[in-house]
Amino acid sequence: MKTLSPTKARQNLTAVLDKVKRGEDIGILHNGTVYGLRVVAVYSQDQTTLTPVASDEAAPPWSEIMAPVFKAGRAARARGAKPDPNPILEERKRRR
Amino acid sequence: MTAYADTSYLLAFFNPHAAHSPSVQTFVMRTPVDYHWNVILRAELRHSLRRIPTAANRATAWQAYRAAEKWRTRLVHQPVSLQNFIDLAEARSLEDNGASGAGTWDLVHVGLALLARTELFLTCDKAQSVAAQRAGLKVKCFTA
Repeated sequence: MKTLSPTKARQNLTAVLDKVKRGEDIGILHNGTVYGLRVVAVYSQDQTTLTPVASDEAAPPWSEIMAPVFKAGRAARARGAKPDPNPILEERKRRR
Repeated sequence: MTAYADTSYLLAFFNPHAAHSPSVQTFVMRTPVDYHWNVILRAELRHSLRRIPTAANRATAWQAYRAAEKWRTRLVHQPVSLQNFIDLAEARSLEDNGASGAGTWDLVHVGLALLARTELFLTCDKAQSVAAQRAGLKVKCFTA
Protein backbone atom coordinates (compact mmCIF):
# COMPACT_ATOMS: atom_id res chain seq x y z
CA MET A 1 0.00 0.00 0.00
CA LYS A 2 1.19 3.46 -0.86
CA THR A 3 0.80 5.86 2.08
CA LEU A 4 0.52 9.62 2.08
CA SER A 5 0.61 12.21 4.83
CA PRO A 6 -2.67 14.06 5.44
CA THR A 7 -1.08 17.20 3.99
CA LYS A 8 0.01 15.44 0.79
CA ALA A 9 -3.40 13.74 0.47
CA ARG A 10 -5.23 17.03 0.94
CA GLN A 11 -3.06 18.79 -1.66
CA ASN A 12 -3.82 16.12 -4.30
CA LEU A 13 -7.15 14.83 -3.08
CA THR A 14 -8.93 14.63 -6.44
CA ALA A 15 -6.01 12.82 -8.08
CA VAL A 16 -5.70 10.48 -5.08
CA LEU A 17 -9.41 9.60 -5.21
CA ASP A 18 -9.18 8.99 -8.96
CA LYS A 19 -6.32 6.56 -8.34
CA VAL A 20 -8.34 4.77 -5.63
CA LYS A 21 -11.22 4.49 -8.05
CA ARG A 22 -8.88 2.90 -10.60
CA GLY A 23 -7.99 0.31 -7.99
CA GLU A 24 -4.75 1.64 -6.46
CA ASP A 25 -4.17 0.76 -2.82
CA ILE A 26 -3.61 4.07 -1.03
CA GLY A 27 -3.70 4.95 2.65
CA ILE A 28 -3.20 8.05 4.77
CA LEU A 29 -0.72 7.83 7.63
CA HIS A 30 -1.73 9.84 10.66
CA ASN A 31 -0.18 9.52 14.14
CA GLY A 32 1.11 6.04 13.38
CA THR A 33 -2.18 4.68 12.02
CA VAL A 34 -2.85 4.00 8.35
CA TYR A 35 -6.35 4.85 7.16
CA GLY A 36 -7.09 2.99 3.94
CA LEU A 37 -9.02 4.62 1.11
CA ARG A 38 -11.49 2.46 -0.74
CA VAL A 39 -14.56 2.79 -2.90
CA VAL A 40 -17.73 1.67 -1.12
CA ALA A 41 -21.28 1.11 -2.33
CA VAL A 42 -23.57 3.44 -0.44
CA TYR A 43 -27.10 2.46 0.46
CA SER A 44 -29.11 5.33 1.82
CA GLN A 45 -32.78 4.81 2.52
CA ASP A 46 -33.34 8.53 2.16
CA GLN A 47 -31.75 8.61 -1.25
CA THR A 48 -33.65 5.62 -2.53
CA THR A 49 -36.95 6.56 -1.00
CA LEU A 50 -37.33 10.24 -1.47
CA THR A 51 -36.10 12.82 -3.89
CA PRO A 52 -34.69 15.84 -2.01
CA VAL A 53 -37.03 18.75 -1.74
CA ALA A 54 -35.92 22.05 -3.26
CA SER A 55 -35.97 24.07 -0.07
CA ASP A 56 -36.25 27.50 -1.68
CA GLU A 57 -39.48 26.59 -3.46
CA ALA A 58 -42.86 26.25 -1.84
CA ALA A 59 -44.50 22.86 -2.23
CA PRO A 60 -47.55 23.00 -4.47
CA PRO A 61 -50.84 22.01 -2.85
CA TRP A 62 -51.97 18.43 -3.22
CA SER A 63 -54.92 19.49 -5.37
CA GLU A 64 -52.47 21.03 -7.85
CA ILE A 65 -50.34 17.86 -8.00
CA MET A 66 -53.38 15.66 -8.58
CA ALA A 67 -55.31 18.01 -10.89
CA PRO A 68 -53.90 16.52 -14.15
CA VAL A 69 -54.82 13.02 -12.92
CA PHE A 70 -58.40 13.98 -12.11
CA LYS A 71 -58.74 15.93 -15.35
CA ALA A 72 -57.41 13.08 -17.51
CA GLY A 73 -59.67 10.63 -15.66
CA ARG A 74 -62.76 12.72 -16.32
CA ALA A 75 -61.81 13.12 -20.00
CA ALA A 76 -61.21 9.38 -20.44
CA ARG A 77 -64.55 8.51 -18.84
CA ALA A 78 -66.32 11.09 -21.00
CA ARG A 79 -64.77 9.49 -24.12
CA GLY A 80 -65.94 6.10 -22.89
CA ALA A 81 -62.37 4.78 -22.92
CA LYS A 82 -61.80 1.32 -21.48
CA PRO A 83 -60.15 1.57 -18.03
CA ASP A 84 -56.64 0.16 -17.62
CA PRO A 85 -56.43 -3.09 -15.69
CA ASN A 86 -54.62 -2.96 -12.35
CA PRO A 87 -51.34 -4.86 -12.92
CA ILE A 88 -50.88 -5.35 -9.19
CA LEU A 89 -54.20 -7.18 -8.83
CA GLU A 90 -53.41 -9.32 -11.86
CA GLU A 91 -49.96 -10.13 -10.49
CA ARG A 92 -51.40 -11.10 -7.12
CA LYS A 93 -54.03 -13.32 -8.71
CA ARG A 94 -51.30 -15.21 -10.55
CA ARG A 95 -49.21 -15.54 -7.40
CA ARG A 96 -51.90 -16.81 -5.04
CA MET B 1 -55.49 10.82 9.12
CA THR B 2 -52.52 8.70 8.06
CA ALA B 3 -53.37 5.58 6.10
CA TYR B 4 -51.40 2.64 4.79
CA ALA B 5 -52.37 2.29 1.15
CA ASP B 6 -51.27 -0.86 -0.58
CA THR B 7 -50.00 -0.68 -4.14
CA SER B 8 -53.32 -1.69 -5.73
CA TYR B 9 -54.79 1.49 -4.22
CA LEU B 10 -51.79 3.71 -5.02
CA LEU B 11 -51.88 2.62 -8.63
CA ALA B 12 -55.60 3.40 -8.94
CA PHE B 13 -54.83 6.68 -7.23
CA PHE B 14 -52.17 7.86 -9.68
CA ASN B 15 -53.56 6.25 -12.85
CA PRO B 16 -56.24 8.62 -14.16
CA HIS B 17 -58.29 5.85 -15.73
CA ALA B 18 -57.78 2.50 -14.03
CA ALA B 19 -60.58 0.13 -13.07
CA HIS B 20 -60.72 1.39 -9.46
CA SER B 21 -59.78 5.01 -10.13
CA PRO B 22 -63.27 6.56 -9.85
CA SER B 23 -63.96 5.15 -6.38
CA VAL B 24 -60.43 5.90 -5.16
CA GLN B 25 -60.41 9.43 -6.56
CA THR B 26 -63.83 10.21 -5.09
CA PHE B 27 -62.53 9.07 -1.70
CA VAL B 28 -59.37 11.18 -2.08
CA MET B 29 -61.34 14.30 -2.95
CA ARG B 30 -63.58 13.89 0.10
CA THR B 31 -61.06 12.65 2.65
CA PRO B 32 -57.71 14.33 3.34
CA VAL B 33 -55.32 11.44 3.91
CA ASP B 34 -51.56 11.21 4.40
CA TYR B 35 -49.92 7.96 3.32
CA HIS B 36 -47.26 5.83 4.94
CA TRP B 37 -44.46 5.47 2.43
CA ASN B 38 -41.65 2.93 2.42
CA VAL B 39 -39.10 1.37 0.07
CA ILE B 40 -41.29 -1.66 -0.59
CA LEU B 41 -44.30 0.39 -1.63
CA ARG B 42 -42.03 2.56 -3.72
CA ALA B 43 -40.49 -0.32 -5.65
CA GLU B 44 -43.83 -2.01 -6.19
CA LEU B 45 -45.57 1.18 -7.27
CA ARG B 46 -42.83 2.24 -9.69
CA HIS B 47 -42.83 -1.19 -11.32
CA SER B 48 -46.63 -1.06 -11.61
CA LEU B 49 -46.60 2.46 -13.05
CA ARG B 50 -44.30 1.19 -15.80
CA ARG B 51 -46.88 -1.47 -16.62
CA ILE B 52 -49.84 0.88 -17.14
CA PRO B 53 -50.84 -0.10 -20.69
CA THR B 54 -52.22 3.26 -21.91
CA ALA B 55 -49.32 5.60 -22.69
CA ALA B 56 -51.15 8.83 -21.85
CA ASN B 57 -52.37 7.44 -18.51
CA ARG B 58 -48.88 6.17 -17.76
CA ALA B 59 -47.35 9.60 -18.44
CA THR B 60 -49.92 11.42 -16.28
CA ALA B 61 -49.52 8.92 -13.46
CA TRP B 62 -45.72 9.24 -13.47
CA GLN B 63 -45.91 13.02 -13.47
CA ALA B 64 -48.18 13.10 -10.43
CA TYR B 65 -46.22 10.41 -8.60
CA ARG B 66 -42.92 12.21 -9.18
CA ALA B 67 -44.36 15.48 -7.93
CA ALA B 68 -45.80 13.79 -4.83
CA GLU B 69 -42.45 12.18 -4.08
CA LYS B 70 -40.43 15.27 -4.86
CA TRP B 71 -42.41 17.40 -2.48
CA ARG B 72 -43.03 14.59 0.00
CA THR B 73 -46.58 15.81 -0.17
CA ARG B 74 -48.85 13.52 1.80
CA LEU B 75 -46.15 10.82 1.97
CA VAL B 76 -44.99 9.96 5.49
CA HIS B 77 -41.68 8.16 5.35
CA GLN B 78 -41.63 4.80 7.15
CA PRO B 79 -38.12 3.39 7.62
CA VAL B 80 -38.02 -0.34 6.90
CA SER B 81 -35.05 -2.66 7.29
CA LEU B 82 -34.56 -6.07 5.72
CA GLN B 83 -34.88 -7.61 9.19
CA ASN B 84 -38.26 -5.87 9.65
CA PHE B 85 -39.33 -7.29 6.36
CA ILE B 86 -38.35 -10.87 7.20
CA ASP B 87 -39.80 -10.74 10.71
CA LEU B 88 -43.09 -9.27 9.50
CA ALA B 89 -43.51 -11.86 6.75
CA GLU B 90 -43.04 -14.70 9.23
CA ALA B 91 -45.13 -13.20 12.03
CA ARG B 92 -48.07 -12.35 9.79
CA SER B 93 -47.96 -15.74 8.07
CA LEU B 94 -48.07 -17.46 11.45
CA GLU B 95 -51.04 -15.34 12.53
CA ASP B 96 -52.89 -15.71 9.25
CA ASN B 97 -52.19 -19.43 8.94
CA GLY B 98 -53.48 -19.50 5.36
CA ALA B 99 -56.97 -18.29 6.30
CA SER B 100 -57.16 -15.08 4.24
CA GLY B 101 -55.86 -16.47 0.95
CA ALA B 102 -53.27 -13.68 0.92
CA GLY B 103 -49.73 -14.30 -0.33
CA THR B 104 -46.46 -13.60 1.46
CA TRP B 105 -46.04 -10.19 -0.11
CA ASP B 106 -49.61 -9.22 0.90
CA LEU B 107 -48.93 -10.20 4.49
CA VAL B 108 -45.78 -8.10 4.50
CA HIS B 109 -47.91 -5.06 3.64
CA VAL B 110 -50.27 -5.89 6.50
CA GLY B 111 -47.26 -6.21 8.80
CA LEU B 112 -45.86 -2.88 7.64
CA ALA B 113 -49.23 -1.23 8.27
CA LEU B 114 -49.26 -2.64 11.81
CA LEU B 115 -45.68 -1.47 12.32
CA ALA B 116 -46.68 2.03 11.21
CA ARG B 117 -49.65 1.95 13.62
CA THR B 118 -51.79 3.10 10.75
CA GLU B 119 -55.30 4.41 11.31
CA LEU B 120 -56.67 2.94 8.11
CA PHE B 121 -55.64 0.34 5.55
CA LEU B 122 -56.61 1.16 1.96
CA THR B 123 -56.70 -1.42 -0.80
CA CYS B 124 -58.50 -2.45 -3.99
CA ASP B 125 -57.77 -6.11 -3.29
CA LYS B 126 -60.33 -8.26 -1.46
CA ALA B 127 -57.89 -10.92 -0.24
CA GLN B 128 -55.56 -8.21 1.01
CA SER B 129 -58.44 -6.51 2.83
CA VAL B 130 -59.41 -9.81 4.51
CA ALA B 131 -55.82 -10.31 5.68
CA ALA B 132 -55.70 -6.75 7.03
CA GLN B 133 -59.03 -7.12 8.85
CA ARG B 134 -57.90 -10.39 10.38
CA ALA B 135 -54.87 -8.54 11.72
CA GLY B 136 -57.18 -6.06 13.47
CA LEU B 137 -56.75 -3.15 11.07
CA LYS B 138 -59.55 -0.82 10.07
CA VAL B 139 -59.90 -1.39 6.32
CA LYS B 140 -61.46 0.33 3.35
CA CYS B 141 -61.60 -1.85 0.23
CA PHE B 142 -62.44 -0.16 -3.06
CA THR B 143 -64.41 -1.84 -5.82
CA ALA B 144 -64.22 -1.25 -9.57
